[in-house]
Amino acid sequence: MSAADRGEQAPRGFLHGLNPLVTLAAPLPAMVGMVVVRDLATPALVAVAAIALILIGARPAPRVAAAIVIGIPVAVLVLGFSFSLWADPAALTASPAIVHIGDWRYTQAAALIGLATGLRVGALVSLALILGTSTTAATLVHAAIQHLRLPYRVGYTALAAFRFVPRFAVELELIRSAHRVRGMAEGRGPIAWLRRGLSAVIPLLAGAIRHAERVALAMDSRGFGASDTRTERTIVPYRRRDTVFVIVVLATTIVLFAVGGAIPF
Amino acid sequence: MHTTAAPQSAPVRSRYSWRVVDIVVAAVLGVACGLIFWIWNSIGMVWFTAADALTPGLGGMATGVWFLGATIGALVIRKPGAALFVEVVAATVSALIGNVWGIETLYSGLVQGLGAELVFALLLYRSWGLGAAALAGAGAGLGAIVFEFFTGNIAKSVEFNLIYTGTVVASGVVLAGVLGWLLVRALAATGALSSFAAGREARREV
Repeated sequence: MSAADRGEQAPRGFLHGLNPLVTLAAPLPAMVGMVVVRDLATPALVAVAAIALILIGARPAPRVAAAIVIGIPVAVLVLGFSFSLWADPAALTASPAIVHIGDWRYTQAAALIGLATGLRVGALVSLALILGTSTTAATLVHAAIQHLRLPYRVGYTALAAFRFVPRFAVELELIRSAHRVRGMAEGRGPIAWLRRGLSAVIPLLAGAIRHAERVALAMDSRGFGASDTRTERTIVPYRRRDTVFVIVVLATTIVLFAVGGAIPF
Repeated sequence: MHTTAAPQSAPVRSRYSWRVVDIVVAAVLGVACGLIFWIWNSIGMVWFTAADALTPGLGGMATGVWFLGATIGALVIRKPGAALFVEVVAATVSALIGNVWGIETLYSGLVQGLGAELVFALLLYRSWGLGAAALAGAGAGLGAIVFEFFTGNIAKSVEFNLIYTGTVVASGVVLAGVLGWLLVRALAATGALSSFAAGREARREV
């Protein structure tokens, strides 16, 4: 969930003025490319470019910006290290070992493969955040209904369901305290924790379904879904600048992949 | 509080058409299953890797929980497309909250939902019992296997793929089929499903 979804008023950059379908579609070729490339330079370049675009174009709140600028590199390093431990030894080229523990060797090749995988994941997350930091789920659904022919009955109910997530947390807390009051929350440790979790699942689902029924009843009584089309309160337009954005992002993607491919890593 | 006077949406059309309450409840079930997936992502992955270290392919035993959305959705809503819709919404939620597989989760949800949906379609959307649920769990597992075979497992040995297929299908039958059926029965017992056929049937038994 982006900062905008939680209702925080972030400073608005030019990305906020674009059609969210464009910020969804334009990074897609780069994302597909990330699945294919195996080097270090391309994902690093793409990740840096995506983060720069977010910082300039979406102007996230300082705390979000800090989380992106610090969090993604840290995540890349941590992921890179853990991936390198899982690297298939048969696929590695012979390379000097960095660490010896008995028979087990942590080689340079494994570390590089791990880092490349971590960078690819980091680049994918950065590309996805272009959409995540510049729009809300509601705007995205409105745009999909207006431009992608997503049936409005499905879109609007999906939006309503998305609003349930905070309710789930409140309801879970209620169920937990009800269990505690009845002395059903005894014991410590992981097994007691698991048992408590399982005993909350059924009441939680039942509560969610009851709430969903009331919402459906309210929607029915207001005539939701009675006709095949509906009017929109928020219009999400597709403008010329959306086309320009797609062209610029695609051109940048091609340049970054060409430059990244030319750097021998 | 909530009265159980079954909310009837508009004029009832065919047995197969979706009422508003069907869409809302399916979406909510999808969100709830997405949260279950998200919790299972860490527990299941630990189980997966631990079992895979024992014998490659045995890790498939942990996968069934990830097909739960398909069986629960179909058993509650009982409409064409319910298994697919709930599983895809659940996969989307699980990917949105964040997991190690990212956008790939969506494709997995799609093929697993399709596998279960096909089973219910072959049963002409008429059987919703324990057997149908178990078969749908197996169908979801088969969908996952076909997808994973072409996205990576094709490079692995025949033994691995045979063991993996067996464990994933068995896991789908038990953890998605039987567990899903039990969950829906427990839900029906609370009376929450009173506006669905699944809940009305349970009430007649009492």
